Amino acid sequence: MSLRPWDIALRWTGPDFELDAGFQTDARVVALFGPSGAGKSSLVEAVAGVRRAEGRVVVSGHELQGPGGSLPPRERRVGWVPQEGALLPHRDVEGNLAFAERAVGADLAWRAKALEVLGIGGLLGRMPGQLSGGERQRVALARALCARPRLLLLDEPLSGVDLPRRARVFGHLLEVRDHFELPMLYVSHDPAEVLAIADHVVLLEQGRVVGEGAPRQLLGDASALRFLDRLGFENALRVEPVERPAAGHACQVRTPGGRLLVAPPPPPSFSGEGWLAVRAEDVLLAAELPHGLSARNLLPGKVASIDEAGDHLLVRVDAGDEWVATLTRRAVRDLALHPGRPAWVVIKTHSMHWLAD
Amino acid sequence: MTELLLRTLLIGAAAVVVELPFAVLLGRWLARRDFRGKAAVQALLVLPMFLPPVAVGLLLLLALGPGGPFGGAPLYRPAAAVAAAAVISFPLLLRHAQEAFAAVPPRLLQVSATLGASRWRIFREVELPLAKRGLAAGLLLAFARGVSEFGATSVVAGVIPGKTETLATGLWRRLSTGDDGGALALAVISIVVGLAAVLLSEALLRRRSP
Repeated sequence: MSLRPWDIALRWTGPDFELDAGFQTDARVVALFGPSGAGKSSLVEAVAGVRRAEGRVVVSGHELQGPGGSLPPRERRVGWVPQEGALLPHRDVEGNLAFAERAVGADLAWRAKALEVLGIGGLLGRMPGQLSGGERQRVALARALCARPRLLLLDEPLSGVDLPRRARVFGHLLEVRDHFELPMLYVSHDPAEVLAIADHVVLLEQGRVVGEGAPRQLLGDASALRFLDRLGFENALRVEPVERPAAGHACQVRTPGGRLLVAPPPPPSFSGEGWLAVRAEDVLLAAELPHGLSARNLLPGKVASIDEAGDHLLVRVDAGDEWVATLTRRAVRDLALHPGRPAWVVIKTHSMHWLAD
Repeated sequence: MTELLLRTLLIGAAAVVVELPFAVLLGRWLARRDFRGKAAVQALLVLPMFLPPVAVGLLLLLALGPGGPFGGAPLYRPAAAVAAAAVISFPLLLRHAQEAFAAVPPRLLQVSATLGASRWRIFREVELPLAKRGLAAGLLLAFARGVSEFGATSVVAGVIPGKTETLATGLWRRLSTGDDGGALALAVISIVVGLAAVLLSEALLRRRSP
């Protein structure tokens, strides 16, 4: 019996869709990544046991499904949070948590930790209908935790959350990842989220695994990079704030490649480290140090690779962080970019947004 | 007259109490399962509503009477009127029960299972609470239908004043014996009872989501 966090191989045939996917990894937090309709949710449902697939599910040495049979969902102890959260609409938040605790018995310290990490202590008396999208997701995750799961299955937890609140909710997800130390399968079609949260990424397309690896390593893999690009690639970088900005001023942050100015105000609870995201098409490259430019952020680096991606090119630049920029063929030719050549990464303060606080 | 009204309401209430467990079990089953021949099963189950009530009464008489599969059942007593009302109004309750259970998102049941809840707990704590408004609305309509039942009731329970007579059968007896005033009074009471039940049922359905 292996004690690696994940050992999954599942097959399921539907009327117009076939899932045949799996992965084995020692990484604790795995992101399942791919376009809509790739089978991400189906795979998660099969792991939860609510979709009857054939195959093997072994998580941290617990065989949930395999040659010895298949455990029913209620004995799998998976903390499954589907996209819509699926809170019981006739029970308040407290009632939802209590529902989850019934099977395992309430553990007050554990519950207190879940409430604190997810910041929902003040919502206990509210009905699900009175919660915002982000609050619903956090309560659904707290409820999953209250059932003392062996693993967490989070299916696009940010999809129902308004854009301005996403950074806040994502920050809570990172906290859950760090405080509960459970194997976690995180479904997303947002590359930046994946880069920020996962130790291992599984790329899924049309029900099959088309690539996998460490998130940063995937950036170096041309085919994976093209795949990410099709979904709208975003650079994600871990930053440390230098100072809290005065109102109306850009915020200064420290990255491995140098300091950056960020126009969008950081989330209110910004302290310690945070995550910033920049779309690959919003990243400019300069062959020489540019002058008289309105863009405030210039980072020196070196071109690491140039890959074809349909009608454009993906240029990977090592500038402290790994940056990926989407450029036209003509731009690459005019700048005479090639691997090993020095280049400047140029980012407008307004093209960055906060991924998590 | 009060005794007649009370007896009628009791018969109607007893009928829905008898029907309820069957409607819940069958309605939930029909809402959750898809199978070959489901349409035929559903048609068969709602059939009593679309047959002449006297024909239903006749079938009941054959089933409950001596020599029938439920032979020895008490005919021409209030219990027979309960059976008639129950059979006639069952399709109405079943339809509402099926809709009420179908409206419970399957996702909630799946998530509840992954949270370690047994099937019985999911039924009691998720399905039933979420279906209860629809069930109550169906119960009221079935009650109203049972209270106004005439054809099948008169066949299996007869029209025995002071014993099995109901609002509907009493109305008919008064009309046929020339007591037009008494018949009209019972008609008015029937309208009030029916209207109250239907309005309440509509109100429940409109506020379905908790």
